[in-house]
Amino acid sequence: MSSTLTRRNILKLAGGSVLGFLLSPMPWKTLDDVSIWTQNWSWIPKVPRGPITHKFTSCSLCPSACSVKARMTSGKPVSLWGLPGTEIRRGALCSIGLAGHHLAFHPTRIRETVRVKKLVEGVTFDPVSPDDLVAHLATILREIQSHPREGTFALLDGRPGGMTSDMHRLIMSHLDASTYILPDAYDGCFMEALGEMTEEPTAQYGLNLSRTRTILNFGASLFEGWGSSPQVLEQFRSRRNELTIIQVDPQRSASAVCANHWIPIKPGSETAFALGLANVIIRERLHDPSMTARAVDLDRSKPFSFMDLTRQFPPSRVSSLTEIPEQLIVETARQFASDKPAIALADDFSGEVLHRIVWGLNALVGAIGKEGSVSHKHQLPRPWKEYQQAPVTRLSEIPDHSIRLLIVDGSLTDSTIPWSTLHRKLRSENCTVVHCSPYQPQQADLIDYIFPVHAPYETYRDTPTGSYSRKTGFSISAPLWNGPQGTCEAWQLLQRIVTTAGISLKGGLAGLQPSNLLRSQTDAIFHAKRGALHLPAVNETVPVIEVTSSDEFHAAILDGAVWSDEDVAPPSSGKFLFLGKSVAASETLVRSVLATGNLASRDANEFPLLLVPVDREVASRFAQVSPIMSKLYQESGLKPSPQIAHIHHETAERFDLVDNGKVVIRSTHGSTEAVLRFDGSVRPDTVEVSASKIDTIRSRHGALPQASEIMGHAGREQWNHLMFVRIERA
Amino acid sequence: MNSGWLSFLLGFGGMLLVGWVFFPSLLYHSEPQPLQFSHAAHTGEAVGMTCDNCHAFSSEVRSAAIPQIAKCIECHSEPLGETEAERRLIDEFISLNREISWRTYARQPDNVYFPHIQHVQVAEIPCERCHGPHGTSDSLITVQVNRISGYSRNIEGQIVPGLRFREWDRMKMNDCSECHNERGVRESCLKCHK
Amino acid sequence: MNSSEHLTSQYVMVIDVDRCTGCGACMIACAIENNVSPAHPDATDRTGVTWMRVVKVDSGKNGNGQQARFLPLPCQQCAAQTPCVTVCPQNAVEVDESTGIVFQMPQRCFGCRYCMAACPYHARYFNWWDPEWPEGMEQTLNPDVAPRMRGVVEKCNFCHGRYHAARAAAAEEGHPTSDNVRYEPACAQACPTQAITFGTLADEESGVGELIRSATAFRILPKLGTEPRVYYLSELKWIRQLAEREKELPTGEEVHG
Repeated sequence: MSSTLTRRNILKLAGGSVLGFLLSPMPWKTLDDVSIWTQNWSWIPKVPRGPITHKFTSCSLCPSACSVKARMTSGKPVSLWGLPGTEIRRGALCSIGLAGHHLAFHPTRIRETVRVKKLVEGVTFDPVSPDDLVAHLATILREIQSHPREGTFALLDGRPGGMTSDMHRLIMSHLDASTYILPDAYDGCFMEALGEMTEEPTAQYGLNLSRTRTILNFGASLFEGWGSSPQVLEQFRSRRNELTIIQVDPQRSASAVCANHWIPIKPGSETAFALGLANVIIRERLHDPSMTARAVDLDRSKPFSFMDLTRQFPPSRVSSLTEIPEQLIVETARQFASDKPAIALADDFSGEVLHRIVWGLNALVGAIGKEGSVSHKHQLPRPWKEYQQAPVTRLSEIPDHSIRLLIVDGSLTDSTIPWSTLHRKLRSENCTVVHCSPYQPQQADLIDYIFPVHAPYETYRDTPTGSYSRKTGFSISAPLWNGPQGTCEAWQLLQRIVTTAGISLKGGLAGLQPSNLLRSQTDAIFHAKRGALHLPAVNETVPVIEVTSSDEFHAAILDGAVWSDEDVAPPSSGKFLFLGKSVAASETLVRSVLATGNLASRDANEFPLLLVPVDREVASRFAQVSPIMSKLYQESGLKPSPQIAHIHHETAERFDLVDNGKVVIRSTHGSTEAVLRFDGSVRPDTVEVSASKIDTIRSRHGALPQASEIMGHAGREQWNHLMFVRIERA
Repeated sequence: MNSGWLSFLLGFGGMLLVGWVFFPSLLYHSEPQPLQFSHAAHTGEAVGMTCDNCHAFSSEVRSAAIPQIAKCIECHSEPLGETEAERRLIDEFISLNREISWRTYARQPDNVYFPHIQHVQVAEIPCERCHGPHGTSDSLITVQVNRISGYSRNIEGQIVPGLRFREWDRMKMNDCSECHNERGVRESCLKCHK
Repeated sequence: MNSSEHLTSQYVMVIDVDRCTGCGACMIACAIENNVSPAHPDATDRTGVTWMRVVKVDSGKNGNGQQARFLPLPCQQCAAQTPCVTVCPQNAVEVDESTGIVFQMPQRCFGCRYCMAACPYHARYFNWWDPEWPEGMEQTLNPDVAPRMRGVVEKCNFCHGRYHAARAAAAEEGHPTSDNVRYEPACAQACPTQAITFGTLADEESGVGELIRSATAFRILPKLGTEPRVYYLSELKWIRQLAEREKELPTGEEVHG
């Protein structure tokens, strides 16, 4: 047989192969599998598998400290849910809290110590060894101790009130030429302002809204979506028909939408409005009669009494300052003074002067008395009472150009750091700024080094109940993730610097670890022998005296238990000082009030529009939010997008601007681009620009326009000042 | 014989051989188990365990219910026999309290919702119905994973064209449907898909 | 409100508009529960994926008389003439008879987006991009819901992952396997003012039966005949008029979002 390799044979070979190929699984299976392959791209993540467990913890993102039940798969958190739990921890998580477990992986996360290099085009972060940094800072600290005239050491605490703050103060009490600074405004400072106006033995104040009928709100977050008092949400849920909420706000915020009445005052005129209300209440004798006895400075003090101040603000004058009709001012005052219990609230960041006036209003309507909405609280039992703590200095009291080494503790909240004011306090040369934060900071060009601290849910953090709560309480935020190696808390950095500098720390502070710090705190609470412990795993509450040992108490706290204190009866009487306890502060108050209404001169032709920064809550309170917040900011119009400015169509017409048009907004500080949208709720002659720092929303147009760019260097502290801008088509 | 036919047959036969014999071995990537384990030694008469002694099904577990090292420790904290596999178990895993990363035979796609609870506890289907005589096997076979689609041969079909002679030869959607229909369980997409 | 077309075993959602504060917790909880990724850099309010979306609606008046409310909009789970089911060429969406859930299967979808055109409530969302989570965040995916790839449409399924988990838990406890097992979708659980109620008409404890029969209950675009399973409550007449669109509203009304 001849097996000649003819063309025909080759063709037949090929033909046979094709038939064999088609009768084999090869083509069919391959096609099938390829189509499956195209539906399973390797970069689409696969869901985790493993046992589902739950862990109880608390949210540490804002002082409300909501109780959290974390759902875990194979030991990693998959979702967080609120727990009703105790009366002081309503535990309905806000949208930021729901995504708290994402924060460990935020794209701007910093996991190693870096040095900030400032270049023309921006900043870069170069890793440095933490030991080298500690040694370097220790050297500077030693120099400061020996040559205090050449500059001081200062530490700014972004969110005071917790164990970290106490540790900062304990360590710093061993140092010379050093100051522990609080920003002029921080979470909870509104409630604390009351302490400066009373002479009661009570340590602290809170709110009890369970029977409140009127809430007069000067911009506090009631319904902004986060940072709100859980009590307000609970009252809104259960007693909406008995509650009247009056929102005094230049912008129709979410709180204004949910309120019964919105008073659209001219931006910056809150103080005048509050004084106008006080004027009406006093004039029509609607105030609580016991106040005349309790408060010497209501009508009798020299050179000014509170009444003297209010006389400067009759409704006619207030109406022109606030652009609110006189009748509405009078009606609001009457409603506030008669539908009681009533309470007036103010945003923590709205300034000390307004806080004082608002507390004055509260005193006039009896909110601080027995039948009022203010509750009295014990202080949280603390383990280190006998140790000396460095005194607190407010930022405004620091002399300019005096700080040589500054450590900023922004571990919980970077956004409220008042960078531009801080900048003035630094020496113009030969100064070092270290920022402790888990994320890239907002104002990197002012910072020399960034020291990474834990992100939320990476370590045990204390979460004492915030200032608005009815009773004092305590719990911890238990970790859900393992943090990166080498990160520690901001106070531990301070501890290392001080010990490396050779300064000895008393009382075992040198070797203190977070775990024994936490243990001594829970021991202090346990030994106070009061209050109750709520155990979320079994949904039971146990009085503390029935807890058998401090070990058991500590273990329960680590498992997410919440301790709440006992009720404190309000004292029967107590002196109230409308102008405040300290002479200096009351003088400042009087001066500011008398100056109200005198707007800084500006060229009305060049900058004809008033700027209203909106969505301030996010920028006020949170270091960072999960990228999933794009649902609210970018993928829907629910929250004001940082790219969009809002204006009333009538105002826009006067300046020849179109809806959805690209514009440039200019001020004396700078300019920013935005897209302009018409909105009928915006006040005439104003433009609303987003203040929030949502940098996960990446713009198609490049850099993200933010209010801070127009308001000056990190303008958070500037928001209480009026800012004028002009808008042009881009 | 005509050389043309021979060529044809050569091509035909050759391609059939490649397609039916070599192709499957190329297509599937074998993953051996990290440790050998004899089901027969545990379920046989000597020890007499049953499936649920080690494989626990709970509505709170999203996985194949393969036991964790704690289950092995219950008996094997001390050597019970003289096999190499047991020695490795104790030296490399139990003494270090290290989980054994078993490979799964029957990993369904992410979009499939299969709760063992409803099938084992409520419908009382024997394990062999879907998993075959795995419980009486002497050793663990390698897991063969399709290089292109990523699914195992247990799911796609032991026999390459996906033919199914025994009930456990394949675990695709139609196989689930068939059993559901037999038992009169009402079907809907929502029931089984995530 | 004719609710007779709902079987008592089928699920119904009731949203109290007067209690909604526009906080968006429901939107975030939904995205976390259902493995919806953060937005692509180029995404906008037209191209994003928000199975639950809260919009702000205005009463149309100007000045101080203007009122606004927030309206959470999930898939309305149409019970009759379900438009998306009718038009899908792939049978990638199905009305589940026992629960009433209009179940979307992205695995079958090939992305023609006919259903998006058909849906009168704009409740369907297309994946213009592959989902992407920042590195490390993919560990937080919910094991009960499959992630989707680009090119397919997805929407609210009344938290089918939770439905499955509830059925499995009921089976484990030895309850007879029923189709109307009680469970709570993520949005209802997250709402801080408890504005969202969910349950079956047969389940009296959920209270939905009473709520949908109340005088303040309404549905969106009822004249289309889709018989949605999502009911709303509001004391304000202008909202009901806006939703029902029975007559022309004064000009100047705005809907944002």
